[in-house]
Amino acid sequence: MASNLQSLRSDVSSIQQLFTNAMQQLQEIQTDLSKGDSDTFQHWIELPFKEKLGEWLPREYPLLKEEASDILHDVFRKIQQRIKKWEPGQENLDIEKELWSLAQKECKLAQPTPENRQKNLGLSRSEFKKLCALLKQGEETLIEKVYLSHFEKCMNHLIFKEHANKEEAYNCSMDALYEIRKDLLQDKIFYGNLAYYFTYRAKRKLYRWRGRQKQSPLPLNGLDFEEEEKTESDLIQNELAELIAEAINRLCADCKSMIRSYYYEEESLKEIAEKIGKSHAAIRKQITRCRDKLRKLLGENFYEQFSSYLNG
Amino acid sequence: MKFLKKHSQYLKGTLPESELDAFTKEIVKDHFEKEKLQNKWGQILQDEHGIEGLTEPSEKVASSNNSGRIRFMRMALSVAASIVVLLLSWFAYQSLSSSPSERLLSEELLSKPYEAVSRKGNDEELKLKAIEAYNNRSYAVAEKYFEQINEIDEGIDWYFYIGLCQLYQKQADLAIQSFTAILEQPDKKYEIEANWYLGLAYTMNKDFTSARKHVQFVIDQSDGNIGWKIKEAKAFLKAFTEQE
Repeated sequence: MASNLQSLRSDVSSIQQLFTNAMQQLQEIQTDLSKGDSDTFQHWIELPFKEKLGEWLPREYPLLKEEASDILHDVFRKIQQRIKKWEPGQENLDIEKELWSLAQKECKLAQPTPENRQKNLGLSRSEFKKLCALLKQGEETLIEKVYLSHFEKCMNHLIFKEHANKEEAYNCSMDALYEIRKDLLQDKIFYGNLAYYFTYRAKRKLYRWRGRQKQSPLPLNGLDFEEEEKTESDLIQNELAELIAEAINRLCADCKSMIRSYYYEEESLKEIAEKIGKSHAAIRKQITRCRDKLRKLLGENFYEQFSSYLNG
Repeated sequence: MKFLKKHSQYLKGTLPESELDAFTKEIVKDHFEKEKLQNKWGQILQDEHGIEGLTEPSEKVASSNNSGRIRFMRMALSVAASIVVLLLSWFAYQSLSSSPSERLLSEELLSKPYEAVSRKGNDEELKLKAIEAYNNRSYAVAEKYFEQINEIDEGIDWYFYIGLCQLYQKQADLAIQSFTAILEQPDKKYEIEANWYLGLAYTMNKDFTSARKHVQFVIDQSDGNIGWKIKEAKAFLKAFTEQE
């Protein structure tokens, strides 16, 4: 009896140990997932569900057979983001349920219905993907034909809904489009509501321009799109780009032109010298002077803006 | 952040000379790339969608948040002020111009304006800009363009459109001068139109006797009820008679 009890105690203790280990492992997985560890994500989420979803998608939506793997790719990226955003204390994330619901939503979006087209600058999901692929190859139809056709609507939204003047609306829409293009090239924009997303980015530019961004973040709830989360590094890069642009714009016209010719258009000193009618040495001197001026202008706000990152 | 540290080295001048040029090239690339693309998009927007940018893309980033806010407030105030002035002018205009012919004139000026089409050299940028501004009812802008065109390629067409721009800006005296000059030309292709618009310009100046003469000319040139602006001209004549 006593030995049986002892054996039972030992079994219970082993089970407890197993349970503690399992809980520990689960916690580690959770931590790794929330940090965005891609190996953990692939091992625990992507691989087990990919097969199931991969079989289910073409069966439910036969038209999407060719797109199935692409849809799955987007579904997993979106779920990865949701996991990253999840914090302890929030309601538990039922990953399996989320995955199925996302897959269904994504499949519905992939149907080339008039409603989907209307929300997405007239494009179906597959057309959008094709144009994105072409953009990466240097073919600008997506921007020059599709997005620019929507430009006026975006401007009008800022004018009528946000009371921007025409100049602000034009400039913010332009800046938003440039950022969107960059994100498209990096596959950071999801099909869903491309039209509103353009306006949203322009609106965010406007708010930032007016210096209201911190006080009034733009809500994304209830809209048919998700955006790739910006990392801290992305945000700093954006701020830095603005600072550099400001410094370049404060250069005199001659310096700006010199910097453009030499550093951006990569013209040689000889070419610039011939174009301007000055000596090779004079041009070299002028470029160095302009470069130093740019450094000085950039330095005026740099430390104030980024000191916390530099010291940290 | 590694890239911030490199920037800091660059700014402090502790980056080796050999790396200075390469780093400058790296940091300015995005700005000029953006400028180049936005200039191209601006051109497409202008050519294909008729949307004009108000500043060069390169100029806009420089504006600070504060100046943006001040500019926004100034704009809002000026828009509000313009609306008040417009409303007051409208009420004043309505109360002063209660005669039937002047009411007809208001309607006429608000109706679809005389369609501007380039008679020749349609491909020239200035002409397209002028016509576009005119068709968008930006008459002050259009007038300047038409004047520029007239300096390069003088012709009755441009005088006619200049007169129309003046009329739609309610510069009746100037419009009368322009249309009278058109009627004095040997080329009579705008004879009916110039008479009609002279009629409107004189009505605007409350010189109904002269106005009647020019409106009557439009009716005389018609074939019964068929003719350009014949219906409107008859309405004006009736209004002139009622006023007497």
